[in-house]
Amino acid sequence: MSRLILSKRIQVLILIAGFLLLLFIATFSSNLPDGLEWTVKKLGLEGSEKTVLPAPLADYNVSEEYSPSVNRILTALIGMALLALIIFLIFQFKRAPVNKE
Amino acid sequence: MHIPDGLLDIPVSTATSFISAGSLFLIWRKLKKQFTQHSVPQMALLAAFIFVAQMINIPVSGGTSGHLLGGLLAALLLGPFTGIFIMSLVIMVQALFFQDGGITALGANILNIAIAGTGSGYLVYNYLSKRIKKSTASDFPGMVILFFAAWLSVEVGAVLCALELSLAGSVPWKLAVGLMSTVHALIGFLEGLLTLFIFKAVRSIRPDLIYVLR
Repeated sequence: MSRLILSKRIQVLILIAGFLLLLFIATFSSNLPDGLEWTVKKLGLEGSEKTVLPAPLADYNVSEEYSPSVNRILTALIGMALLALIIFLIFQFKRAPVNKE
Repeated sequence: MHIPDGLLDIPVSTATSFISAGSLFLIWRKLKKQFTQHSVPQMALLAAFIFVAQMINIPVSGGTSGHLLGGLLAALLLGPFTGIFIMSLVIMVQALFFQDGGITALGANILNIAIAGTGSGYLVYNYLSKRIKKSTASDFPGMVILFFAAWLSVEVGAVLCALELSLAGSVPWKLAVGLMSTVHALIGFLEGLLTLFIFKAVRSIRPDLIYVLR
């Protein structure tokens, strides 16, 4: 197993570049049905789907005024920020067990 | 593989919600004991990564598309309990804020993707890799196991999803399971390749961050 020795700064830059690349690729996401949508269609259950509680950013759309690519990038950033915030809030007051010895 | 509202009936939704809530409660108790402050940024980064990765649908075959689920990847990097926990958070955020997966199907989606998918993939990886390590020092069998476990994590979730659909509706279970497992066998292939690639990339730069290598 070969390991690349990189400075912390380079590692952070690689991480940021990776996320930017992901955001860019997200704008080219396929509109083809996913495995479940395809199966639902084959089973004749298409049209059974309904909305129980409308979500604020349904179908990864911030606003109809923006292009699909902009909507995807914005919703990706919002989703990432939300998850990071939720995880930090959940664990904010939780401290690792302290060894009293 | 996120089930929307309207496809599951009340008994199936209720049962899957109870199973998921009970499992997450037990996982949370385990997680509290294993928790270290250092793992929080890793959890946040990985959750953010999985969220964006799940937004990228790649054409697979026969007019369908698939995306990385990331359950096994999360379990390999952070441990099975943390992996299941952050996968559940991703699914909750997708459902509550982006309507990707239904509110009434939230329990089922967490059960299929986060708990059963991630859990089964990790268990198989853990069991097989321990057996392989005893017999060979080569890296290749371990990578094959990783690929297979990632593929399996998608298949297990897909089969469970099909069973829930057939329990809730009037579709024959054999047909539902057949269709879901066939189409997700291809999507699982994608999951295997991506999990393998990302695992190897992290291992080459920061092997110390990988739970299964500690």
